[in-house]
Amino acid sequence: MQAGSLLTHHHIATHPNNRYVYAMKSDPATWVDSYADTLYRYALLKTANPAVAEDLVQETLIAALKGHDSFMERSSEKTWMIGILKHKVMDYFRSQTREFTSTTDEDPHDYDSILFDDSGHWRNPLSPWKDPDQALENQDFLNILQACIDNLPARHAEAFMLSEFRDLESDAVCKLLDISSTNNLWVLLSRVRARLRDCLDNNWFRPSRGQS
Amino acid sequence: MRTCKETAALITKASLHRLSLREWLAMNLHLMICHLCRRFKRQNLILSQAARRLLEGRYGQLSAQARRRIDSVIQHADEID
Repeated sequence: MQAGSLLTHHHIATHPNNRYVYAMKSDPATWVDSYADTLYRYALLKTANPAVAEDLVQETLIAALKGHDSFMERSSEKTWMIGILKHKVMDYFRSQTREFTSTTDEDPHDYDSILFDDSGHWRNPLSPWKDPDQALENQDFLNILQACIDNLPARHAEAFMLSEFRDLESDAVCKLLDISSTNNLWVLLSRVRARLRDCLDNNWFRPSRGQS
Repeated sequence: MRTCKETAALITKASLHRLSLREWLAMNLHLMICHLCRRFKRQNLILSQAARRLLEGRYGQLSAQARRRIDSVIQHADEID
């Protein structure tokens, strides 16, 4: 078969201005299928408004289309697009005179002394959880988790949810949260998860219901 | 030997990302002797399962209608350029 019949070449053939081919560049016709849900979830997480989130996804994909020639493979296409979306969301917040993220959030290391002793051991022995599978089926349990997440500093809640969406690479999550290295992301997330664990422990697993 | 504090970060990383061989060995060596970190690892898994259920309900997919609209806008923008 001729190389000209390959998908990438077909794409190039319809775009004579594309002079450089990068393996990671995909056909824009596939973008809605490949990226729209990921972009939408982030936009919805930030704006809490489905209509606004849909518009931001559309704006992002159009901007990506216009800038596709300048996209280099330093990151994946998805990471590149979520970076564009982040700026769109910031513009939207500016137009609404709302604050993008509270940058004055607590440092994750503030929890360190609550969670760990000076030698790095757990300060309080983690208690076991009884019937976790049953809890997962219970809407009240999920509501408590929701409350625990809402109680976190906004940036930590965002970090947790972005990581649990499981469709963003860690460098994209770092970019969205202005975290300088992925190692810092793992540290932050481990402290946030330990806090959520404690919150579920205190509000669901511990209060005497374990004995029944 | 890594501390619990360091191992907690490795456990978190392992649940989302690939560990290097050195990290994987360090984590498992610690887990062999530390039941609290084993418990943390197990409970983290439950936390993730719960989070997924919660987030699926709260942050679903883009609606089919919006998907079609955006798709046609992109195709259209493509033709103009």
